[in-house]
Parts: sequence; C-alpha cells; structure tokens
Amino acid sequence: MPEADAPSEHDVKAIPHATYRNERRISLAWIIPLVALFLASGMGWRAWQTRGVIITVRLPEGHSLKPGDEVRYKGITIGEIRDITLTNDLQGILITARLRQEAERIARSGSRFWVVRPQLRLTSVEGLETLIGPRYLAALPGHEQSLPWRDFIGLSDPPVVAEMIPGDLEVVVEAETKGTLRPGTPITYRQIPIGSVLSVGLASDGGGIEARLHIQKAYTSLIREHTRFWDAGGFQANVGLTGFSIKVESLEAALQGSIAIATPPEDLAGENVRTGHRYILHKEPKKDWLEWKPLIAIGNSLLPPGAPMPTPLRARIGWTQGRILRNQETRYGWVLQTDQGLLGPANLLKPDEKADRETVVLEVEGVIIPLNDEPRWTDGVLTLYTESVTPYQWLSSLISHPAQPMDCIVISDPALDPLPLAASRLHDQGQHWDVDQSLSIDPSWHGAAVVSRENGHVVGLLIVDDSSARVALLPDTIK
Amino acid sequence: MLRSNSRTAAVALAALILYPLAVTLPMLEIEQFGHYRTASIVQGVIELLSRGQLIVGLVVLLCSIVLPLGKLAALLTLSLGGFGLGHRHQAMTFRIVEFTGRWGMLDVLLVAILVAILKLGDMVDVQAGPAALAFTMCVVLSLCATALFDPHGLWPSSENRETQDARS
Repeated sequence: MPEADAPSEHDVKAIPHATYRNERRISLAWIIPLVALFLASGMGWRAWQTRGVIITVRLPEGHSLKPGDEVRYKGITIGEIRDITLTNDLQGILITARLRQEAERIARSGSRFWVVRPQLRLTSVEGLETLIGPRYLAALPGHEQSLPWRDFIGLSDPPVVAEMIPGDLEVVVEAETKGTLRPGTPITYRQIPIGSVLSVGLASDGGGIEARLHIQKAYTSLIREHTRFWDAGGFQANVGLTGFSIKVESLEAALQGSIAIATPPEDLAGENVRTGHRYILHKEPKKDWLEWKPLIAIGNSLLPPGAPMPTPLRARIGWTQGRILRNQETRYGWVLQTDQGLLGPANLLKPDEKADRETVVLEVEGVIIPLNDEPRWTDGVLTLYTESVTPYQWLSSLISHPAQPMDCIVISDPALDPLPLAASRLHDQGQHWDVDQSLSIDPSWHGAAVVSRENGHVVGLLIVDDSSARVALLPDTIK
Repeated sequence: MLRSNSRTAAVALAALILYPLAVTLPMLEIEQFGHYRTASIVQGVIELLSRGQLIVGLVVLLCSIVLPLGKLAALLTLSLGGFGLGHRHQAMTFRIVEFTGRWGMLDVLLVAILVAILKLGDMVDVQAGPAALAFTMCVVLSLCATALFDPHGLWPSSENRETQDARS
C-alpha cells in the first residue's frame, strides 16, 4: 500500500487507511511459557519420581491406628497411612498406606506388616515409644528376589523371627504340657541362643502339645537325629532332709522359659535332620547329656553350614621417606595367613619406591616381619611372603578362582560382622572385580578376605584405595 | 494481531502450564505431634466435599479451580484472536472474564496460605510444599495477563471487518 500519497481532491471523502507495521511476528514474551514449561516439567518429574507406592494391609485389629500415622522400618519413617476402613465382612481392617519412593522395594511379596504397640513382658519391653507417641505400622521386607506386591495381610503380633533365611531349620517338639513355652522362647545350646519357638499349640489329637522351633542356619549342624531337647525354663526347688536346693538354668530362662539342647559326640549323633523332624521335649536333662562335648563345625549364617571362617590378621607397614623433608608413612590393613605364606595387598607388604629402605617396618599381629627376602609371588596388587606368624593357616585347598562374580562376604576383624557383597554389585574386570561405586567401603577393609558364599572358599582379597574398592582375585598358581 | 495481546497470550499460556501442578502438588507440608501430612488444593476440595461441607467445598472449587482456569483459558482464546468466535461472542467473553475475575481468588488463597504459615508456626510445623512456587508464579502470571490484556485488540481491524462483511 502506498504510504504518503497526497490525497487528491478527488479522494477527499476517502478515510485514510491506517498502516500496519508487523515488526516481529514472534514476540519475545513467548519465552515466558517456554520457561514455565521447563519449570513445570522439572517439578512434575520430581513429583513423579518421589510419588512412592500405595499398598494395602489387612489386619485383624487396628490398635487405634489413625490416618497420618507412620509406616516405619528400622526405626525410620518410610511412609504414611492414608486411610483405614473396615473390611466388608467386618472381620478386620484395611489400611491404605503410601510408601515413600526410597522404600518402594519393601512392597514385595513376603513383606510383613504389624502394628507396634506397647508390650510389657517380664524379660523385655517393646514398643515403649508408642505408649505416649502415636502407634505405627512396622514393616519387614520380604526376600530380596521376590516379586513386587501391593496387597498384604498383616500380622497380629510382631514376628518372632525377623527373617527366614533359606537354610534355616524348623523342627517340631512334642511335650506333655506347655510349661513356660510361648512364641519367642529362646532355644539355647550351652546357654547360647541358637533359635526360638515359633508357635505352641495342642497336638492335633489333643494328646499333648507341639511347638515349632526355628533354628538359625549357622547352628543347623548342631541338630542331629539324636539331639535331645529339654525344657530349661522355670526353676526346680527340692526340699529334703539334707536341706533346700534350687536349680535354675539362668535367671533369664527362669523368667521367660527356654528350651535347651544337647547333642551327643559326633559318632553317636546321627545324621543332620531336615525341616519337620520331630523330637520329644524332655522335662529335665539326664546327667550324661550335660557332659556331651561334640565337636561340630558351626559357622557364619552367611556361609554354607560348617564352612570355616578365615581369620585375617591386622597388619601395619610404616617407613620414612624423602630426603630433605622426611615424613612418616603408615598403612594399615589385613593379611591372611595361608599354608603357602602371608598373603596380602602388595602396597601393605611392600613399601613405596621412595621409602628409605632401612626404616621400613612391617608388623603383622604384633610380630615384626623382616622384609629382607623377595616375595614368593606378586602380581603388583597382591603379594605372598613365605613367612608364617601364626599356626592357624588357611589351607590352599580352600582357595579357588571363580569364573564370574558370585555372592561373597568380606571378612576382616573377626569381632565385626562380615560385609556381604552381592554378585550384582561386582563387575568382572578379568584379574579383579570392581565393587559397585554405590557401595561405600571404608578403607579399614583393605586386605580383608573375600569368601564365596557358595562354597566357603577364599576367592580374593578386598583392595580399597582412595577412589574405589575391588576384589583382587587369587590366581590358581597360588596353590 | 496486536503485540500487546500476543504478550497476554504468552503469559496466560505460561500460567496455564503451571496451573495443574499448582493445584495437584502438595502446597503445604504440615507436621504436628509427629504426624506428617501434605495438602494440595485439589485434595482440600475433595476432603471438604467428602466431609459433607458441600457449600464451602463448591465455593472453594469454583473460586480456586474453575474460575481462575476459565479466566486464563478465556484470556488465552481472546488474545489469540478468538478462534473463530464472533465479535459479539468475543466481547461477551471479555465481559464475563472481567466480571468473574473478581471471584476467581487465586491471590486470596495465597494470602490465606501465608497466614496459615505465619499463624500456625508455633503449634505445628508448616512448610511450603513444591506447589507453592508454581502457585505463586501462577498468581503473578495471571495478574500480569489481565493487566497486559488490551481490549482494543478485540476491535476488528478494518480488513477483517471487510472480509466478514463480505461473508455475510
């Protein structure tokens, strides 16, 4: 359209047309919705990430639980109760709860839920915090490999045994009367608890009572065909001409009851039993039972029954280095005494290049080891010396070289719990397995023995340095 | 299309994008005597309605969800040129927006929340949830959109009128 044409007289009546200038088709303001979209998707994504999972739990009794109460596991909050309603048949309640996102995996089959409420017993007090504070729903996750699950049937009482590990043993004892037995009563061997009573009830014919006993996996090798069980609860008082005597197994046993067991020596003990084996519960032990001293290997519950545990030795190497600025270097870790010699991380058994040779001191379990000889074998990561500091040697027949990562436990200080390492956390790198970065492993595990859970063999040593942890595998040649 | 109204459209669209998050995400995180609860606007409305507070629930639903949403949607439509709405309808829509704008009280809700945070502070631990940011931005954007909207944009340009006249 022409812009500044002078209107001719001919067009005087014509209304002048305004002119449009389309400066920019797209205004800068459209950045605002883009920013909003960006923000919204960020927030939406976060909300989606932390949305958690909704589960339902059916319980026989509500114990004054309310919506808003917490779901807890290991003492921390993992979710909250959304809603509580009666079930359709009025026989129980139905709890709807939301688990937080980080606890999502507790929603899997085999997980158990129960209401924690104050329980006062002679020997223990449980759930004291719920006396004044709100009650809560406690959770116990099911087995690691079980499938995701949303609908649960809760327990009316806290579970007696926290976790049934495959390999645990369950046997039945028959008794004439209940005595002091009740779920949770400990089973002791030489007064060490090795299991507990799961349930007590009348036998199906009413001719006695039956109790199901749970024996921890580590002690299953103690339970043989000819093992004797007796009721060690309560106390026995004898008043006679010679005076007054009272017999108590232990104060704890007298109060809460206890089942004691004895196993005859190896040649009379008979075979290991399977779950379901039945025993008679005697009222009191015979004298000779108490004198039985069977030598049965018992082991860690994470290892196959009877597998021995290696006992790594604490080691320290120290030296001074530097010409002008002399400084002390010290390293700590663990070494393993094998029948071939001392096996340990190379940087623990050998000083750095820079070290002043004369100042190097290697100390294993309080014994100074001279470092005059060359090591018998080394591959740069591990080193083997022919020294021997203790007669307790790990047999090289119990060392193996597995083809791929497997479930392991790491053993250092015998007084500490071993560290479990799942096969999925280990990445095969040929001569070593990298431990997943998500597992933070303290440097105090440096040199700890890595034992296969499958056969109890030592497969390598754990090497921990500043940045990462890995399992250095033992070569076959070490045999 | 006039530039002022394209700005309105942009701002209104931004507010609309943030709106669903503002009403569904937890607005308040309340902790009282060990009980932890979160509350979003939608949840609040549902709770009010399910407790039988029909009138209050409906008022809240209308003022905090329906009207603001409707206002934003109407502004967006108008500022984008009406989407085929006739002039008469556009004008009517604008009047409705003007009128209901007074009743869509997003901003009042924001004040109420602030009051809750300040007043309840001693008894319970109230914290703003993730929706608070979205909500505040939504309120500000919505105010901006109304302020930026230029009703003159609704006046038909002569060309448009010519084409419309030709059509009719």
